[in-house]
Amino acid sequence: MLDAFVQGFLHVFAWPTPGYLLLGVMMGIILGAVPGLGGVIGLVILLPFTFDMETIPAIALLLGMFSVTSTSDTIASVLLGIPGTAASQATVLDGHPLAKQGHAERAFGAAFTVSAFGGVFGALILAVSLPLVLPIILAFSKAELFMLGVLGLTMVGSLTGRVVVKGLLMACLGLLMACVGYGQTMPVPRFYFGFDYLLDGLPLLPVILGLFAIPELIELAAKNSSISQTIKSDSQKGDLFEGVKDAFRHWGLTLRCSLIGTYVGILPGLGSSIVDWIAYGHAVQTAKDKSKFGTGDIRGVIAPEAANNAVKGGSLIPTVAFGIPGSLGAAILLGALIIQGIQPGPEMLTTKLDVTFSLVWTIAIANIIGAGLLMVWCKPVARIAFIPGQLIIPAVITFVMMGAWLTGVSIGDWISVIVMGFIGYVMKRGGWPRPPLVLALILGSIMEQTFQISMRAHQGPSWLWERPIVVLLGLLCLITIALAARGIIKTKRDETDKDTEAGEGNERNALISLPFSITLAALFTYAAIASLGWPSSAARFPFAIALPAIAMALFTCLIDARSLRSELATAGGLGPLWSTTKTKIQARKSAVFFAYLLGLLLLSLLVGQKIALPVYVAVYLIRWGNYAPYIAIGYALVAWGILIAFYDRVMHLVWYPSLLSEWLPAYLPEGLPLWLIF
Amino acid sequence: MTLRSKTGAILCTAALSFATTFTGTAQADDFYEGKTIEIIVGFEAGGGTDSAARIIARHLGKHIPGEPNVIIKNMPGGGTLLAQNYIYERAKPDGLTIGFNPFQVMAQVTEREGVRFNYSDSTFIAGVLAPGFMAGVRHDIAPGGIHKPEDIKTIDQPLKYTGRTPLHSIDVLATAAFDLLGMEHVYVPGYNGSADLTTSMVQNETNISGAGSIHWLKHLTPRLIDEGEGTGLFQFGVLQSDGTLAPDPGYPGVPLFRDFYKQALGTEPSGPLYEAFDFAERMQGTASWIVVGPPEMDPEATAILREAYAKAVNDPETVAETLKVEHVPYGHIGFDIAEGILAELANTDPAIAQFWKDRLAKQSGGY
Repeated sequence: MLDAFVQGFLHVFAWPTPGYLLLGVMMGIILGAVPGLGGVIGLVILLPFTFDMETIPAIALLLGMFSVTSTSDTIASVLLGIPGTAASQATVLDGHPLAKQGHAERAFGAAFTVSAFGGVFGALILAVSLPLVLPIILAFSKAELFMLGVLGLTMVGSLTGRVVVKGLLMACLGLLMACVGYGQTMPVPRFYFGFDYLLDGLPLLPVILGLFAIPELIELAAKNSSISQTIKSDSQKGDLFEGVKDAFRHWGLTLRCSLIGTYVGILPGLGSSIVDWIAYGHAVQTAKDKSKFGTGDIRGVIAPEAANNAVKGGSLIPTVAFGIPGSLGAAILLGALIIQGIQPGPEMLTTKLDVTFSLVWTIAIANIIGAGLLMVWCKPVARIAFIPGQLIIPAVITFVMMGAWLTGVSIGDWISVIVMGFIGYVMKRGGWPRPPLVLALILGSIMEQTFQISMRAHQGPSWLWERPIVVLLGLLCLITIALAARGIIKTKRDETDKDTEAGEGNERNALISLPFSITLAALFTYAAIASLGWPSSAARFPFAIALPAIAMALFTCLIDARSLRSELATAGGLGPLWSTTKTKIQARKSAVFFAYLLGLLLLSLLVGQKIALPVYVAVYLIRWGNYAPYIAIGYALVAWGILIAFYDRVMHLVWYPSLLSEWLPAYLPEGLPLWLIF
Repeated sequence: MTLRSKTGAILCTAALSFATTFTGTAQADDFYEGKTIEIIVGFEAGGGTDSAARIIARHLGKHIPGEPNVIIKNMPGGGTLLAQNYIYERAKPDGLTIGFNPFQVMAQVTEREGVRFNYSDSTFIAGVLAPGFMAGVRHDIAPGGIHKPEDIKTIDQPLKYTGRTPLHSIDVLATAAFDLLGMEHVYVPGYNGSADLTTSMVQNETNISGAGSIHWLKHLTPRLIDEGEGTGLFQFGVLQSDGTLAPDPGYPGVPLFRDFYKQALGTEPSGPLYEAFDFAERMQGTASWIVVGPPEMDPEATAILREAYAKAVNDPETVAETLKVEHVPYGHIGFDIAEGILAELANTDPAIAQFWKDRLAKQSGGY
């Protein structure tokens, strides 16, 4: 085995492999940094180029790119509060507050260091645990995966914010949203309201982009300042190095989260979109002082970033050894490996172990190179935090909307972003934490699928107490819940009503929160009633979620009503309270921001996205940003160029067939390059 | 996701554009000269349907006078319903937009919610046949294992079928075949993809399964059959030009379903279930994938594309590339064979349609 370990290493260093690896890493950095793009898109773009290449260089190019997207996605998470890819959602919680305090570089320093460490350590863990991989995979049938999903869901306890029941209720909402569309196991479409778009369920990316990006952008737009609320000063010099030191200071956490990442990666089906939450939850649970989490605790950056790089090495093993891809990215990678003549199978762990190790080494080395390059490049990038926000917003909106469009090429994706953006805004302002919703949305469909299969395969619920690993995981869930409950009670006692509104789910605006509570109560009641008409397999899950959720929603209505009464007493009437709330939540500017987005949507329906997006960019800069027309038009032309060059020519996207594109071409002479505008 | 799009996957709709784009050299006055044909695929890039569509599309342009660009566009969603509805309802009948999607005939027969397309009214261009399906079992369902057809009478374990969704063409045929054989089983739907299906069989979470060729040859064979833990039971065969079914050479020694039935039970299959099965088998045996344009597509374009698909599927380069993925080349089904089937589909016996609707409702029911 040691021989294969060394052989694999030598493969990676045979020219031209290192050259392709470097090229892949550089592409991966860019794809990870832009919100809405990511490793999967990179694989699809690069794949055709590798058909005629030698095996190892081709793999180096693909894996090099794929490995580092979860390092550079930190940039958008920290600077913009938008997860660069699904793997760095949890980084937002503490990374973005750090950027607002002017410490983006520190977050980068820590994140890149632990990313590199996680990638390398993950690879080493893999090397020593190869003999364990097959037994682990075979021991985890759907029953065990279901319990693992439940365990992941208990992490919600660490993500709830000030009012615990609100966090739990948001988890219920996420689970309910996971039920939209055809169920995992039954051809009964649920909650789709006649829209074909919803038949397949709510796509994750538009939901995440809407939920996190839009509220942050509104805040940035309304503040009319830069992302960092402090001016760049000498005190931030050496911040990057401080971050590196942070990583070493918390080496135990780094180590544990790398382990979590690797082993979650090995288990098929869970994958990278939840590992960051699990790692974050672990960091909160094991911390002695939990008070800073959510407001810029560096440990909240370290944990998810260490885990989300380690997960990639882990997910590679079941992919190559058993043809079981743990994620969509791994599935596409599997296709690429087969084209390259690498047949997945147990011999990848025996006679072809050197090839497997060269894959593992590629990931490790790519992670080191990626982190190194980012350390050098992040200083200028971090300056984005100090430039006027109005200049950033149009570009980010363009990438966010196109990222959402990429998921389903449906106008429904844009509507999802805007609707989820509105919900995210209400949640943020009303003190409702967003992470439990996202975590539950991801876990919901996995849990429903594994639950249904287990119930059918075992003809009843006996698997819940007859399978040892299920029982063990169940006990772990109970312990986690008990610990979380104790932690919450303790925190409550320690800082009873400390007047902080910072951090996810801590804002207090009863005028916003109460209507949301009432809406939720109505929504869950509707869900319970609607599910009564379906066959039991389709109804079971939403019904089981809705019942406790109705009770919780009624409870939050009470809490909100009580807060509203005290807020009314303090303000002296509804009129004055509304006017203070209006100022606090920047109601007018937020409404205008949504109006801009709706305008973009309508304009796209009329004249198409290739015209509408640049128009949005220009209008926004002139009207809201007060920039000179020549700057705005230049900016818009660049945006248009990216739409054409990248999304149209490289990605071959289907664009929305606008009204104008339906009738105008008939009146134009043939042979015009209409693809430039429609 | 189990790799289903909704859970976590960031679906990617990008096209492998470079590989499929052909810029034609100019020929005079041809219908397709200087134009671009868009082929809409209802899945994300990278899956089985997508790769079949791409392999054939790469060699389509050169068989069309004027050598137009041919590009694949992915429009995932609703299990290809979005793409198939789009072609049927919204695409212009100018011969520039066509669809390459699974022939989901049972979705039409059972009037699945969301289905608004209709194969009989669409403009048929080509059917493409992948290798046939087969069915396999674990040996430990019977005390001495399953070594000959008669052994199914000795089964003493509860049977659990590794299911996808009740409308999946493999599940439709395989579960009906097991029922015909009297192999009573629990249908366990919800598995996604060959690896997921295989792992379940290896773990003995389920113990009988229907399989396509990649699933059987690349997953089940090394992980279950070669280990001596399971065996192939019967196969559904490949449609021949004379309308009969022949065994697929990729499954040597695995008998055709009707031969297996005769040997196991000593009679010919018959009865209402068999009639419904026979209908489904003929419908689905017509094509794995169907290439269609919107209703009333330009007749000139239709004729050109029908001919071009016939040549492209059988093109030696297509065959060579197909063999990298499958064990036998794709087959081409022309309008001559499809015409009768599509007419029969338009006039499906209401009793048979009702049978499949009821069966679908039963299989979708709860535990």
